[in-house]
Amino acid sequence: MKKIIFNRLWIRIIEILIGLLFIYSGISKTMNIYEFSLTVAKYGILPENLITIFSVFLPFFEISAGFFLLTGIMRAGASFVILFLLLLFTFAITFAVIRGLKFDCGCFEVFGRGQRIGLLLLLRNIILILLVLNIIIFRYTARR
Amino acid sequence: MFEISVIFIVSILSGIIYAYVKHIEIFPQDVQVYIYSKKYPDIKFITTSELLKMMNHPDIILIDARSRSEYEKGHIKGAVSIPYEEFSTDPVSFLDLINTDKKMIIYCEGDFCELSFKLAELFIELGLKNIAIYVGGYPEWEKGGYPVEKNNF
Repeated sequence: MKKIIFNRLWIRIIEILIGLLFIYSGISKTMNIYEFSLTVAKYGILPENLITIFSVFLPFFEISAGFFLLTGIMRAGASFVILFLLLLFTFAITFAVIRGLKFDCGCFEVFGRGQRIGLLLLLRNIILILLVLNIIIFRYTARR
Repeated sequence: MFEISVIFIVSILSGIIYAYVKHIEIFPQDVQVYIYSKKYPDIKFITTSELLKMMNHPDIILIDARSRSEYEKGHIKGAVSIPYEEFSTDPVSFLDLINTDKKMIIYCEGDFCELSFKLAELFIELGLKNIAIYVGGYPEWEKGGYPVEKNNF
């Protein structure tokens, strides 16, 4: 198991897949920014006056971090940004699940409507967090 | 830390360029009205003071898009109940109410409640025109101490 998760090829594959996922997620949000703003509002976490600014900038954090992870340029920084974003999303989804909110998560705003807030979504995020941690640990130990 | 700073700067700059090109207001005065008016450009929006001026006008029909039980607990005075959930499955039973030339003003729970918009979209699909939405909805109306009715079956 250790041989697999610390295999260079495995790490490169998950970097490419997560990079593509984040680019796709960011682009889909920019294609329907107002729909995404409404989804952000439904989470009820941010004050109203921060909803638009958050909705405008968040997709670009996803796209640039995804791009840098995919291309391998600054992959260490990109994986930390992606980890931060995933923790942020997980917090928002957990908060919504606890309060019993039910709506599309807004994860892939245009192409993937219908992903409802719920435990399955949390599980998906936890798997992604573990994969990103796998990248970070591998890259960190490889640098030393 | 250097890499994270670069990603941060790239993202912020891209966001600023995107907002500029797309003419997006970063800090709109009324976030709800701004987002909804961008998402639904064909629908008009009215405020509490505008509704107050219009509500006794004979050419206005005020529509409550919330569930029937919420309507019965309390609604804006003179509003009729067309619950989105019921209308989307059986629009025929509401034809008498919507087959009119009057201006239709729809409201729901306010605070980013989408029922009004979903109902307005269905009305537009049916070819109805002259539709407006009271974004503040019942909570804002009730909070303002304006006329409401309760248990009106």
